[in-house]
Formats: sequence, C-alpha cells, structure tokens
Amino acid sequence: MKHLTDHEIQAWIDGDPGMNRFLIEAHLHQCRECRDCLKSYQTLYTVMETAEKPLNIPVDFADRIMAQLPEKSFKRRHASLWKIIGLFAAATFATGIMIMTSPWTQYFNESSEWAQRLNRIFHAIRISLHWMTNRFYGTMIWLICGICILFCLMTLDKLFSCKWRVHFNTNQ
Amino acid sequence: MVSNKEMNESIENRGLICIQKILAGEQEAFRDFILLFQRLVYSITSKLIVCQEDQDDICQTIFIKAYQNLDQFRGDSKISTWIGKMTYNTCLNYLRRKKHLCLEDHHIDHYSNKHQNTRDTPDHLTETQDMSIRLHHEMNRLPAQMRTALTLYHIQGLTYDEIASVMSCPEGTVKSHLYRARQLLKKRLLEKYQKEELIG
Repeated sequence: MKHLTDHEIQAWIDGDPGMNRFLIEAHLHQCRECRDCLKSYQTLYTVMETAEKPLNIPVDFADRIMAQLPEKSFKRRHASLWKIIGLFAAATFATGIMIMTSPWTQYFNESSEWAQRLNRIFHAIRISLHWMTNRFYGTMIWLICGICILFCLMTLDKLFSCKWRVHFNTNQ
Repeated sequence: MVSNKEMNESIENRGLICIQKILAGEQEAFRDFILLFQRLVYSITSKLIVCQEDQDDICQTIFIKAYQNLDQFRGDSKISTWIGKMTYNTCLNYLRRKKHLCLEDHHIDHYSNKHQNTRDTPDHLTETQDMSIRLHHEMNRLPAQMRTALTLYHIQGLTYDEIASVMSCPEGTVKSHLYRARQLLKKRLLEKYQKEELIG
C-alpha cells in the first residue's frame, strides 16, 4: 500500500483546498502508519502554536517611538478630493463629447432663448468637429471616451471603496 | 478561550480604528497602534536579525516608517500584511547592507545554543516545555525564510497568500517553505524523542 507523503498530511491539517480530502481521509482510516505520522505533525503544530518564544520587547518601546515621531499632517484626503473632482470633470467632459458627436443628439427643445443659444454653441462645436463624426474617427472617439469614463469610474470606485471599507470596519 | 483567528481579527479592527484616529490628527492613537502590532514586528525581526540592539533599532525604524506612510494604507490588504511586508523588506535591506545574510544562520545557531545551555535545566522543565524549547532551538537552525514563514503561519495566524504577500514570493514557495520546514522539524524531533512521545 502506498503511504501518504508528508506534504499530503500537512496539506490535510492546513485544510489546503488544493488536495483531495476524501482520498486522504479514506487512506488515514485504514493506515496506522500514516495516522501516527499525522499525530506527530499535530503535536508539532500544537507545540509551535502554544509555545511562542518570549520576545524581548523593551517596556518603553512605544514611548521611544512616540518621542521620535516626526511632525506630520495628513493632508492626503484633500488631495484625494481634488483627484475626485478632476476625474468627475474628465468624465463629464468625455460624456459631453459623446453626446455632441452623436448623430442622434437632438440638443435641447428650443422653447427658450438660452436653449437656442446652447443649441447654436453645440452646433458650432459639432460643425468644427464634423470630421469626428465620419465612421472611422467617430468610432475611435467614442471608444476613447468610453474607456476614459470606465477608467474614471473604476478609479472613483477604488478611492471610495477603500475609505468606505475603513469606515465600515471601524464601526463594527 | 479566544482563538488565534479571533484575536487577530480583533487586532485588525482595533488597528483600523487607530488609523482613522491618527489620520484625523490624533497622534496619540499611534501608541495603541504600536502596542497592537509590536509583537508581529518583533517576531518577524527576531527571526531574521540576531542582535537585540539591532532588532530594537529596526523595529523603531519600521514603526516610524509606518507612521509616515499611514495615509498610503488603502485597506486593500490587512494591516498585519502591510506592516509585515514592511518589516520583512526592512530586515532584508538591513542584512544586505550589513552583508550578514550568509552569516546569519550560523550566528543564530551559536546564540541559540548559548541560550539553550543556560536555560535547559531538565529539573525545572516539564516535558512539553522541554519539547517547546527544543523546537525553538531546532527552528533557529532552519534557514531564515523557513523560520519567517513558520512564525507568520503558526504564531501570527496569517494565511498562505498573506505570507506570500509579506515575503513577496509566490504562494507555492510559501507552501514549500512550510512543508519542508515542518518535515525537517519533525525529523529532528524524532531524533531526540521517542516516536510515542510525539504521537502522545
């Protein structure tokens, strides 16, 4: 009968998902030698986990560090805020370009004077960018804008989720 | 009784509260942060650096570095992984700078032998204590990376992938370090104890 290897026995104790627990347990059930090997590893694990060698941490360790701490104000949050504003502006701009270059855009309902003005501005921009609306450039600009927006959203999500996670965990 | 895992989770949560307070300008909260993670930092450092004074200096440097970079901690990983990685890299840089890397195992063995001779008085030790001291002695004879992986797994309760992140190596390498280290320890303990003593 082929015995279990030391690696297989350790992986079983560790609960390593990369091995077949059923096969190992079936073998352990019928092989005394492997059961003994398992028990000796279990003793080893217990001794290692329960008997940590005492660490020589100085009593005033924290005081020493506190006395050496440099003056530092954590202003990164404001920098993050500017980053968020910048990304939001970039996403808005990219969305604007997408709307303006879209052949389906109806602009605004010309019911008021300011709407007519805006339509004229949009129309002027659209004419100046008319080369983008042909098939090739139009597709390219849409793709780039799409990637831009996706990137902005992913970055925003990362920025927010980290802060939220810290906040969430601390409130538990 | 509180398990290692529960204790580590509690330390992580308290660490996150400390970080929030420090970032809000409450510098004194860093004292609690030090008290929470000093065991982790010292246990990694003590596995790689022999001289106690150097250990103290390095641990101080690590905590000051952690304070300076606290705003860069994004919460993507556990605090213990973040500070563990910082500790491991700082120790390796120190050893490279001092060119101690190849000598270190010999030194540790020498120190641990000295340590063992002064303490190993069987009259005062129970069998388990004796086994535990022998185990530590044998652990100190292992290569530094194996010692670190064992400490992080068994004492600090980190998972394979967290250890891989701390030691900047693939998960497979961590498993290999752990398996080989335990196999060696078991073999060496069996040379000193009867098989029945280990089986219990």
